[in-house]
Amino acid sequence: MTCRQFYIMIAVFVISLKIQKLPCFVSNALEKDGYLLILLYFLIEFALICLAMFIAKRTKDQSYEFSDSVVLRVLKNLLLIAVAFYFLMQGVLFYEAIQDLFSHILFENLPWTLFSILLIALVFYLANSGLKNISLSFELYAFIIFGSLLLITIFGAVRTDFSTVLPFQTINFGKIVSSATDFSFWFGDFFIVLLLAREAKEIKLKWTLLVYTISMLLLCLMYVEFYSIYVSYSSMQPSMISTLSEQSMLGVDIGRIDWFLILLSEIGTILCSGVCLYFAKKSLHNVIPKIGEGYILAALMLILYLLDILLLVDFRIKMIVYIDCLKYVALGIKVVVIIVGTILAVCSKKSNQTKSEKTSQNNSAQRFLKEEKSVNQIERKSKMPKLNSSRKKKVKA
Amino acid sequence: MSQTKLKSAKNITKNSNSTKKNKNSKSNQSNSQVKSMAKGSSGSSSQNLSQQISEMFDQDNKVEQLKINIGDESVTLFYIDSLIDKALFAGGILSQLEKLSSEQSSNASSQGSQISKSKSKNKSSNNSSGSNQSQSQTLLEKIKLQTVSISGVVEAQDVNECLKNIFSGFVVLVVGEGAICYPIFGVEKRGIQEPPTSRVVKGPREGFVEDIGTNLGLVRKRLKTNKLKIIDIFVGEKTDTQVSLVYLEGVAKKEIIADVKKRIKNINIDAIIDSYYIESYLEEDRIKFFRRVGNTEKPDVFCAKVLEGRIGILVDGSPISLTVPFVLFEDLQSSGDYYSVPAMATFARLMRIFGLITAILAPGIYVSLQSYNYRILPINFLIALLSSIEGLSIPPLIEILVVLLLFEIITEASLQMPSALGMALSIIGALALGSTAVDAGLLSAPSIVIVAISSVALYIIPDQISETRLLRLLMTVVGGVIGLYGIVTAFMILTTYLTSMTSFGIPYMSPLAPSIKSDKKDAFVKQPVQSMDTRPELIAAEDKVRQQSSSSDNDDMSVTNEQNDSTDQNESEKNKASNMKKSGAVNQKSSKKQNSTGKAKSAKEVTNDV
Amino acid sequence: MKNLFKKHIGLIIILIILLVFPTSLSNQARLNMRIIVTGIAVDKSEDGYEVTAQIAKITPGTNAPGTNATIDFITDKDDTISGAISKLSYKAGKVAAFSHTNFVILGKTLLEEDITKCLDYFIRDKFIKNSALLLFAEENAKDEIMKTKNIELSVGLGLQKVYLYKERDGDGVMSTVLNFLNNTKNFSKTATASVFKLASNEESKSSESSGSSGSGGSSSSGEGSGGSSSEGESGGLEGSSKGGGEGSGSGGSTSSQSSSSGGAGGSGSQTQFFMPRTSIMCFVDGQFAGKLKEDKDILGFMLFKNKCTSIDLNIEPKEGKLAGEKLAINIRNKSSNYSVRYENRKPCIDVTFTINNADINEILTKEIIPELSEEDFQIVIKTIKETVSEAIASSFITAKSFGADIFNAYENAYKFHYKETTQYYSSVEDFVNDLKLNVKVNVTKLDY
Repeated sequence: MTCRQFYIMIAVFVISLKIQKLPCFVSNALEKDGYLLILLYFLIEFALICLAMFIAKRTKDQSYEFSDSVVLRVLKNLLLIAVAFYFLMQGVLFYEAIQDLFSHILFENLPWTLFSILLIALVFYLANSGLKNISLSFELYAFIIFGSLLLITIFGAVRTDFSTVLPFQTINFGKIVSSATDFSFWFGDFFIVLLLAREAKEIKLKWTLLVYTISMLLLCLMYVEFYSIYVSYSSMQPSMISTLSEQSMLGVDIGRIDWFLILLSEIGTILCSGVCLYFAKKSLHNVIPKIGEGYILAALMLILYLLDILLLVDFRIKMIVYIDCLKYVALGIKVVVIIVGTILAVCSKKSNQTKSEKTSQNNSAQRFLKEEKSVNQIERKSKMPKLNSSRKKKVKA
Repeated sequence: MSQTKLKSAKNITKNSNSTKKNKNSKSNQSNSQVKSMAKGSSGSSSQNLSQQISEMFDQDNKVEQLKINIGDESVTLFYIDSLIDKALFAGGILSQLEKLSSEQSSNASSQGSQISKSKSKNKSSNNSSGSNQSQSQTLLEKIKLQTVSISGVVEAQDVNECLKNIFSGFVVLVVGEGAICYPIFGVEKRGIQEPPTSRVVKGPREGFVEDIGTNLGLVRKRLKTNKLKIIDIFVGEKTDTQVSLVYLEGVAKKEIIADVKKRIKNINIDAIIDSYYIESYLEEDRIKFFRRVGNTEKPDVFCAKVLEGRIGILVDGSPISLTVPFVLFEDLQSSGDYYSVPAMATFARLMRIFGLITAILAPGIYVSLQSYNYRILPINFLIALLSSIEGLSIPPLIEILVVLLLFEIITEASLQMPSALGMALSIIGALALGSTAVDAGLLSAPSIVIVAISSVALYIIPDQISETRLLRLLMTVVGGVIGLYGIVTAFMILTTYLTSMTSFGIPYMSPLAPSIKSDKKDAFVKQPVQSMDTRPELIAAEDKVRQQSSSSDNDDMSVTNEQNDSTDQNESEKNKASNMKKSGAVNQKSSKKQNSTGKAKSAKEVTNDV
Repeated sequence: MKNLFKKHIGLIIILIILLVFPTSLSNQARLNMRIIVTGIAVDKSEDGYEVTAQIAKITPGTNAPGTNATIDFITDKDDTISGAISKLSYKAGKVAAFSHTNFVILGKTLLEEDITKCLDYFIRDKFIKNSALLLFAEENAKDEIMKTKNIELSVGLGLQKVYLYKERDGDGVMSTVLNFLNNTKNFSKTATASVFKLASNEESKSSESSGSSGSGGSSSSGEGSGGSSSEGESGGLEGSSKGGGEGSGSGGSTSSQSSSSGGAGGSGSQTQFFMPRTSIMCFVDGQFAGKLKEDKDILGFMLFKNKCTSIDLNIEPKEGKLAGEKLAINIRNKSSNYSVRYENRKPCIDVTFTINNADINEILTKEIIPELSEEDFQIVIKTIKETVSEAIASSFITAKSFGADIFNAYENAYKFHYKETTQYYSSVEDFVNDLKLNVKVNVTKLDY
């Protein structure tokens, strides 16, 4: 993965999950101060991302088998299972957002039980194709996703009264902090930064932080716009992304053409779902290496599908599961990962960065080729047309 | 038996390095011994060689045999009448042989000479090994000298080569144990014309033809450098088709060259009729949807791609040349872009992309909006649409599929129909589809409009027509079945598949994914020629510099830096410092080595002088 | 696994498509089995709610725009609005589609209770846009909506667009359901919406004689409203009925031309309908408070809101060469700012209205005046300032009289002077009662 791809993935990941249903929940809980929750998490995660980058840098060359001790191994496996569970549930969250958008908002009556098979197939394909291909897809769609989001934000800004956030005197910081834990599952982007930073090369902390800052500020702006447009009725909206630009289309008289922008921005959500399932698969594969990654992924997709159609059918149940039940689980997993990661990073030796790596070309293309050279040689050999043997046999006969 | 001999002979021939057009340096100097490598052959008499050749043919092969006695020696000519240039044969060979014969007879008048013609008759003559050989050697030399006016003469070492050359239009002259092959191919070939598939308003209008010699000539005309390498490989048991790999040394990657060579050499097929056969073998997957091998009929495009670091493949008998590696963006580029104003070229490319998207997605989006997502449509448009479809009995998906099918039928029929009927049938098609079907309530006007727009937009990228047609159908079905949700997911599956594809190790979607800044100068946007200072990053090998640009434009260049001649050392040091990348390695070559981009160097020298 | 997938990829795709295809056929929208509902009118009846839906009845075949549909209506009753609407759905034999409903008219009978109750359905329903235009009928909403059959098709079906243009021309307020409800719930708790009325020629004649207000000016389409408002304003500070009569007469002639040219709505009907200028209704905390009926009040309100792109003003200088003469001014570029401050514990709203670019369109005198002297010019400017100030003040006073904070002063004070506001006032009514207005008008450029 190149650094450019890394930055794009971080930005899309940060934004995609939080522009769906979350603003409605936040508006319900915090009303006009919802954007402060974003800022609060931004400040917390800013520090955590620095820590995550440090951990990633130190443990980049380490495998998951960092100890021979049985106890530590068991703990490691438990942690990996927890991480897999976390990413599975986060993947489900992304998936649910897509499902919500399509089956409840865009369509009148979509038989999701059957039609979701296509989305399952897509997410499976994404997760199975590997992080390299997912990152290429991110890079390919980057312009489209960011362009759509920006346009939607601009459309929303047309109808925004920014004084809605006033007065500041009524801000209840206690309430903001207490409700922050409710939404912990939607946040925690440092986790994905940590995992992606281990895969990417030559990434810089300052650019990562800059990308993260811009993404969170954009998110903040979108939250302010959303609340100022819908005010008391924000919590009743189906999702933020589908309603932000609705009011601006009145005078244009071209229907809801902004839906195409919404669909283009949802591409990021689908890609993020693939990323989550990929990491879940990877984590489980490290626990049970004997089972092929494809099979693990197939099992995860089946669980996702069943969760979607059997458990998370109702909006209230989704809220209960994610806000009431899973928030502490998510917090716990993140805390444990931070602690373990920090310990590993401190204990490990500094990764030996060779001179060639440091002085290597910054060209993403060359880096890509270097990574792919060895893989492609093997692939090419296996893909050589095997006609000769059969034909030679015929000739001999 | 003869077939087995032929095959074994061909196998041996493949291992040898002789080619049709290589001027064999050995021929004039080291031609002392003729080796007979055919199985079962023994002895070294001249009769055996010509007899061996004669035994390969029967009456139905239509191979002519002409025996001429010159002095004590008999000379046998083997040729296929329909392949040779008869005038050249008579004037360049027969008349010269006659002269030689008369000279011989005048010189050795006591011996007497007879010219006798006998067809399909083998005369065995027992020659003693030593003196007869030297006699025939001398005669061979004399004949060569006599027929020096014919260029491209090669010597054959064995029966197999002789056979190969006979079938390739050579006249094979057997003297003793040696044989000379005269290339006097005389079959009519098509003249150089503008290719019908790639027309341009401005720019060269030459196109490749079926004759590989002509095609190589067109390439050589443009690439006048010793770095141009041509490797000939003969493929096809029955056709022995010449396949030439063309590349620039130092520009094309060695791994890719080796890979391509290997793949072509491993082809074991009886016949290669067209370059598409080669293309099929170069593809990595047997069942392919998107091609990974580029093709072009234009020599200027071919040379431009070779200059970018690609390997060009010319196939005898096909005017379509191949280039590898191939990326998707090449189809968006047209040769006309490079011969017109960059702004117009950029506009044209954006229109092509827009047209491509329209062609693929328009029917699908229309069906999905009508079937599921009509809420997106503005009210006036919705009312107009409802008005058009009111009373229609078939669902929108079926309707669109029917219209698509009708358009496909019309397209296929128009390709096959005689031109005299074209006008009449097109009127019927237009009337029947356009107004009658709508008036009868069978189809609706918007569906016909949408499919018509999509069909016209299909041809905006001619090389992608087949893929676009299939994709259009797929998207229509998906849109009609699952609406916009289906289109989005199907589109994502498609793009994920495209990003995962590679063509000889090069990502298929480059320079978009992975993003390569320097290559984007020629992707969506066409920048002026002056800005194109490097070759494609992933495709070209060491020599990536096309032209020396100004010092400020060298952010992404990771290139070799070549020193100039000592006379320009000061300027070269300045340029070297400015061209040096921050963390890149500087590849210093000796000052005596010439710059491969000679033209760039001379331009720079001129600039420096000024 | 990968190879297995690759080998049978075609089969898998076909299988997926075959699985979903039959299901999809039964779930498709089938547009030709849908009725497009473009407007809804709600009245309260004895049984509950009476809902009338305006539908676009499609004319089959490829027709010219404007002739491919006609307007029709379906009515039903139920205890709840939702129940009545769901009954409507199948009354015409097809499924009603509400995604293109662009206006909602509420009848007079609904004003007796909290209006937010009946709007709750419209804000919750996921198919009806919450950006639908909200209008009120003076009497029965059903009667008003049924009159839309008599006007031009595009106007009748697209009232939201019409009112958007009217707002841009300063002829009314385009208040969506969402905006209305948001304003009801904000700190000022004041919301406004336009009255919808379609008047016929006969009605306008009778209104002329009775001097009823609210029919001043007319526009059958948004474009014509600029001209009509100026005529509506010709009375200036004088009685509105005269201006109204004149306005309606001239507007009537304009609209009669357009309605006759429209064709679809008015075919076969000798009575022609047009949209007169109507009043703006004010609601405080969901309850009906009052109306801005006078042209001056409406003008003042529109000037303050500054949502119109250009607005026409009629002035009558009282001194100078042009004393007593009528001038028509077109204000093209303007800005309106306001702020609230406390003065001796009393709130005061400072409104600054700046005219950046205005033209003198017409001077109604016998003689031709190619150029104004400096003195006259200053008098004209002064008169413009006075007229604008008076209009804004008039709207303020009228709204204040029924306790409506149409300028959102309380909200502004609450946001920017939180401490004082919470200290001095606990309710909006007290605030509004004590609220004073200070208007300052600047004219930067005036052309003639």
